[in-house]
Amino acid sequence: MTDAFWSWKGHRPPSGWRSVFSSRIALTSIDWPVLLLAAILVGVSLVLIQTMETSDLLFGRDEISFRSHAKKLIVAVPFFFLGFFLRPRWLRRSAWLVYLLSLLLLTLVPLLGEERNNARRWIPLPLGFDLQPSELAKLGLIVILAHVLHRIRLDRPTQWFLPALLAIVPMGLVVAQPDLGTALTIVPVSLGMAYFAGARARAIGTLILVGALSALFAYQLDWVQGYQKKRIDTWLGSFDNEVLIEGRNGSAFHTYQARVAIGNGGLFGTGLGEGVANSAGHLPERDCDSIFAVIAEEGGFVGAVLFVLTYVAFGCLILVVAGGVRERFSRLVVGGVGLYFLSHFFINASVNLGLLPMTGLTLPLVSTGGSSLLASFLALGLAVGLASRHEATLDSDAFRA
Amino acid sequence: MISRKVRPLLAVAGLGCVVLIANLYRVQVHQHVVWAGEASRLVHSGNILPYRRGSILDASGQVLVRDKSTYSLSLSYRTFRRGHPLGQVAHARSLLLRRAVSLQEARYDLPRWTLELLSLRPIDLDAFAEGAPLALGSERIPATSKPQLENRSRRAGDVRYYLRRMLLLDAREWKRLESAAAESPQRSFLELAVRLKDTELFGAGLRDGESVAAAGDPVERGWRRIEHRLARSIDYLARFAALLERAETRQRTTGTALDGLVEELEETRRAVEDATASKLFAEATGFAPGRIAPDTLAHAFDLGWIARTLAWDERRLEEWTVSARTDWLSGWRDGYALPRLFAQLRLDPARDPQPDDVLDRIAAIFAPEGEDGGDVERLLDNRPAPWRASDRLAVLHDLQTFLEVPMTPEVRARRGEVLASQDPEVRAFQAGHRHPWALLDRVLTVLPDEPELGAAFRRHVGRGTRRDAEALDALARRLADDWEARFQGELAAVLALLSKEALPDTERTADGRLVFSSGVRERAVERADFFLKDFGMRPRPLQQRPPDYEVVGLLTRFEAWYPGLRALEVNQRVATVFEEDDGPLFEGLIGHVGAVDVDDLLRQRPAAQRLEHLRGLADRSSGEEHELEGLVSTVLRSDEQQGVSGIEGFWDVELRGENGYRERWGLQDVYESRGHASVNEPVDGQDVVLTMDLDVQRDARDTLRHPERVNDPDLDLEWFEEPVGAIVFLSVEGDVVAAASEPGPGSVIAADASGQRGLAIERTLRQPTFQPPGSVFKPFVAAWALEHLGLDPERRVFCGEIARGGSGYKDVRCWKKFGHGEVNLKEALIGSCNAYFAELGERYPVASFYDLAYAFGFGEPTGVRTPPPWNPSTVRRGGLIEAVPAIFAVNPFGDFERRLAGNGLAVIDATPMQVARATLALATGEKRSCRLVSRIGELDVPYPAAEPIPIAAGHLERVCDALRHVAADRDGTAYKALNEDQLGFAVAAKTGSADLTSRRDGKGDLVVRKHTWVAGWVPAVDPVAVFVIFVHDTRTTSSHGAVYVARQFLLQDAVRSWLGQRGVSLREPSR
Repeated sequence: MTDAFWSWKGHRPPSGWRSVFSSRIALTSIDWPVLLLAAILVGVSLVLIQTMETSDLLFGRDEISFRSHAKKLIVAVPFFFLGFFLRPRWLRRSAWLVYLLSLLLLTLVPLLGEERNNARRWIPLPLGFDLQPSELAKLGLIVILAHVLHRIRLDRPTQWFLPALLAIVPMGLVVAQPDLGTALTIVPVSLGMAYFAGARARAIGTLILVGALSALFAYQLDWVQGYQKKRIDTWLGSFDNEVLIEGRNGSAFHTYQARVAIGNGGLFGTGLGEGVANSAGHLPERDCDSIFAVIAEEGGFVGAVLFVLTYVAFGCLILVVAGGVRERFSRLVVGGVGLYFLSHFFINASVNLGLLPMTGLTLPLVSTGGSSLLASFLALGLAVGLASRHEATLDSDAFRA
Repeated sequence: MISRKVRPLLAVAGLGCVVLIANLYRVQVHQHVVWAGEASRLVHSGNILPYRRGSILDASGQVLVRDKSTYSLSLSYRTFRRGHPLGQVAHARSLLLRRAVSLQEARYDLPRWTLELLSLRPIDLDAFAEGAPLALGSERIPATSKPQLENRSRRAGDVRYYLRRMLLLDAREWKRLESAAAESPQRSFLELAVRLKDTELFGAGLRDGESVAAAGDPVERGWRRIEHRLARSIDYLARFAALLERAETRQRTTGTALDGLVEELEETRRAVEDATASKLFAEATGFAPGRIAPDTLAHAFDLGWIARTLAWDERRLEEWTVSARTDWLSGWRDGYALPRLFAQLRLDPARDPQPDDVLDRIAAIFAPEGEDGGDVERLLDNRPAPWRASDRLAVLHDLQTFLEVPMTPEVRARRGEVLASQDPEVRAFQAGHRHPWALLDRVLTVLPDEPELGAAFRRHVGRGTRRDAEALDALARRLADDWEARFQGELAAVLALLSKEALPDTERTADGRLVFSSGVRERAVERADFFLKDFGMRPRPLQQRPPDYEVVGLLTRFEAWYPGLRALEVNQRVATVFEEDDGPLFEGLIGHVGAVDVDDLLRQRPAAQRLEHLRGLADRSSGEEHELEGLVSTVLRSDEQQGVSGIEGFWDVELRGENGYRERWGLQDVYESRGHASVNEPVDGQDVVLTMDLDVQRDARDTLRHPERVNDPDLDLEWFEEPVGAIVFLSVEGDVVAAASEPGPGSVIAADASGQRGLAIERTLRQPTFQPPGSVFKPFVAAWALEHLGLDPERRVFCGEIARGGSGYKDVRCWKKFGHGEVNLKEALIGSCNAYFAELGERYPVASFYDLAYAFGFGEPTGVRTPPPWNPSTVRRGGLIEAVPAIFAVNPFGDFERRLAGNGLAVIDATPMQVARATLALATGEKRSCRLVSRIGELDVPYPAAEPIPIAAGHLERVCDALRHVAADRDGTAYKALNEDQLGFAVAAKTGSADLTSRRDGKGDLVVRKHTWVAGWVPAVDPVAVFVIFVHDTRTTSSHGAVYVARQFLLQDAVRSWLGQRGVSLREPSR
């Protein structure tokens, strides 16, 4: 390209790092309410983890470390800025690279991954935590779906093939780890992005119906593994309090402990560090997957509702912001991030409340998991950064609502 | 403005929000009480406060038996392994080497191994966690490319914990150490620790700017402190072990006392780890590992995940499979399930047991366990699962839920008819009403080796006696064993169908073992720490006998040196041993306490379950609180002792108290101060005061145990060498003052003792053999005949030669070789003439014998087992067995039998207490019940009402006068031992002898063996006491044996003192 060409276009595209990152974001264009709500959630997390550590010290346990959590946060914060300053154009062009890299990491897990609790999900890192590639794969999927969907509107059945394939591949790899919880979050994110891209609600509803019926048949025909069937049976039984209490020392242990913690909170909660989850210490993963139960117990119904409203407001605000982004690719990415936070939240809270079968899934920005923090800060940075830019694109629908 | 496209998504999010909030409301507000109650279970604890069982005292208030506060040693292994250097080093080393390093090994190399561990650097452990090799002294742990498979990260974390405890660092100090490690990665844990400030072990640490050289090698100094601490910890343990051994409470075969203690600690560790492994296995599979034979379990299944979790090697894993099997077979099946199931069958009052009931119970053992304990628990809760509907079998049914391999059609086809109870033909068999047990026979026809088993079941099932219960349990075990063998055979066949050869493409280990599906392993391993903590925290008794005060003092004073070892205060039933004695005096009569038996546990099962439920509730209504208090006081504790025999058994209702209850909220094992408690104080049992006099009882026992040999050529020296007999001493009011037996508890019984001499039992209330009263029955016959049969006391009967040699009347011989000649009633009584009373008996109508016997209390209880009037029920009163022999149980009751009955021979049987009571009636003219207890708690036990004998006073006096002459006249049979000169006071008495059997002595002569008696009262006029001496199995008559025993007893200081206190005029005896 000649200089004359670029003078006709109006400006020369940046090269080198400048083609990847851009710091030209006006403070006024940043969505401060989203950041404020995110800061509140991170603050809640810090208070809770500090309280848990204090309880541990008091009760002679050595399970939860505030210092470790803070260290992970410090590692995660730069990822917020990484996402924040990323140029949308670069991201769109590099979408396949990002996606393939995330798949590569997923395929490396069986080779390099460390097995914990009979699941291989983590790759050891010298950062104070180990990397869980499935967390990053979700972001990779959001980016590639945005890239693919920003050109199509899913108004023909054949257009569904590629996005579906792109979603199914990482899902399959994650299920193989096995990590059913993470795999589950991919479904609402993918379907939500499809809806954002223009898919008809009826088509999505049909897909959900077919999926639900397939799962029901698989369960009825014993196509699921024995332990999965037992987990589902435990879940179905957990709707009856007596059955749940009877099974408290067996397969319903985790569900029971979570329910006890939440129910014990009552209307106004037990107070910080005073809940049974912290004092007895039986609730598994109380700093991570089960942190919602701790919030509900120590904050009570009032505190839990406030937290639910805050988190849902946070996710919805990102969706609203996404709706206002004019550039389609960025809109899809920001919308995907909003769906990412909301789906994590609803699945996590539902699991803790017993509305879904027990599965391990973090609560982004709040749980202690290092990869989760890293991915959620990166996602938040991407959403806020992309929503704050108004770069012109040559997309056909760049200026369509 | 919100985008149109976003609005439906917001609506969905809003809907989700509403659903979540609604469910939060449901759980947190609507169901808050339920979950708060469950939460309370997790952090609140309730303790049953045991009552103190009432004491048993003698008449003068001396305590004979009491509950004594003592201690019980217990070990919480988790606290020990975390707190004691021995546990820390053994477990840290086990984690690194991945084999169970025993406490014994750790003890002998404690300093060296400790130094090796503390010399590790944090980076060494970090590298180890990532798979790098590690050098631990001479041991080399090789590198691995798959650290996650070896749980390296978790093992390294656990080792860090033990290192922290070895260095006595708290969590914050440890964090400081880790920070220092980041700056000085080449330093060992020991080097890092000595540099920390203000730690317990190393004090101030190095001052700022102070170099190692200036401080005089602080690492060396620090190590010396640790070494000193190690030595002291072992010294303290050795002192503890030596004290235990000195108290002779421990058994040791080899090595030192410390060796024995460390061995016991190691056994506890193994028990904790075994229990954890079994729980992990059961968590993954749904059944206990002991259901599978050890060989099959170890070689057919991949149990490596259990070994990895517990850092075990292959050998330890195999040892666990064996112990798990033993626990299941002996502990659960034979020790718990079968006895309870069949006891319940016996105890069911509603109906007779049926063969279906037997099969339900055996089949329940083989049913899948489930989370509620399976069919066994359902049966115990009276929710039986019919055996005909028991299609599923444990293990075989569960295989598909935890194995990776698919269940092939061949496998599915096999799973149905393993046990006879699953045979369709057997199930369809209808036995009919006339022969219902034919069903069991039909089932048992599959047992060709045990053709008699069905008949045996029929004989024993439903019978209530203990003996039958044991036989029934044994039969059930035999049947269960047979089914078990068949079950194991079927399991082996199924596993062969799942073998590598049969299914080559399925996932399994390299050597072909079946692997568990990852999901079930994951869930089980997630809870491994919880199980280890749970089993490790449970206190386990360290020894059976209570420790002495030195041991308790050591543990209490130096608590920090004995982590996990505790002396818990408990109550123990203790019989007082007085200075003069070598053992408890009243043991035979007082009886024993024992553990709650299975029958009682079953009876109270619903109440116990209700109590557990109420204890678990955080918020209870006032009604529930009241119910809880009631149940706490009535439901027997598992460690409670109840009276099972003697006085302890019969007055158990009064001696028992009511348990109290302390409920505490908060984790009391962590911090006491934050919790608060509510207490219902226990109510102690009531004291029971006996009518018996300690000193008189001692003299009675000593008299029997050491009878004096007198200068009498006819004395039966054999009996005096090994006496068997009884003494009863009653006050004239009917109080039992002494009741001694020989041999009794504490008697020296020769190894070759035979017959009754080998039987240490209470004999005053029982008749172990047929024991007719002989001539002591004659006065009663005489008195009744005077009153009711018009006997002329002056009428003479000839006692002379009879047909088959000797003297007597018709076919009844008299003891006097040449006969008494013609005798009247008085002479007959004084001389104990058999001919007179044979002739008199012949004139008795049969009914009159019954009348006279009942008039004097023969054939009925003596009254010692009378409950207090304020709690008259005898339904739940056991113990204090009193025999009530049948009288005149002979058919026909002809002339010969009447002649014998007149002499108290052959057709009448009595206990010493009955004879004493009858003698008391004769002496006082009133039949009284004997009283053994005079006071319970604060209340006096009233005397039972006396019943006048239907005989005129004049007639009674005539007989009594004759008995006074028995001891006072030279012709009297008791004169030579019981005359007033010899005793210092006058007695009335009657001797008696009754032939028992005959056997040849060493010379081949036929010798007649007898019971002999002396029954009488003292003083002869206006009696204050009655005495009965019973001598069992002697070759001489009462005049040459029992009377000497009677004299010895009546001359005892305590007896004379007792008589003196009752106003009897005592002179010095002549000898």
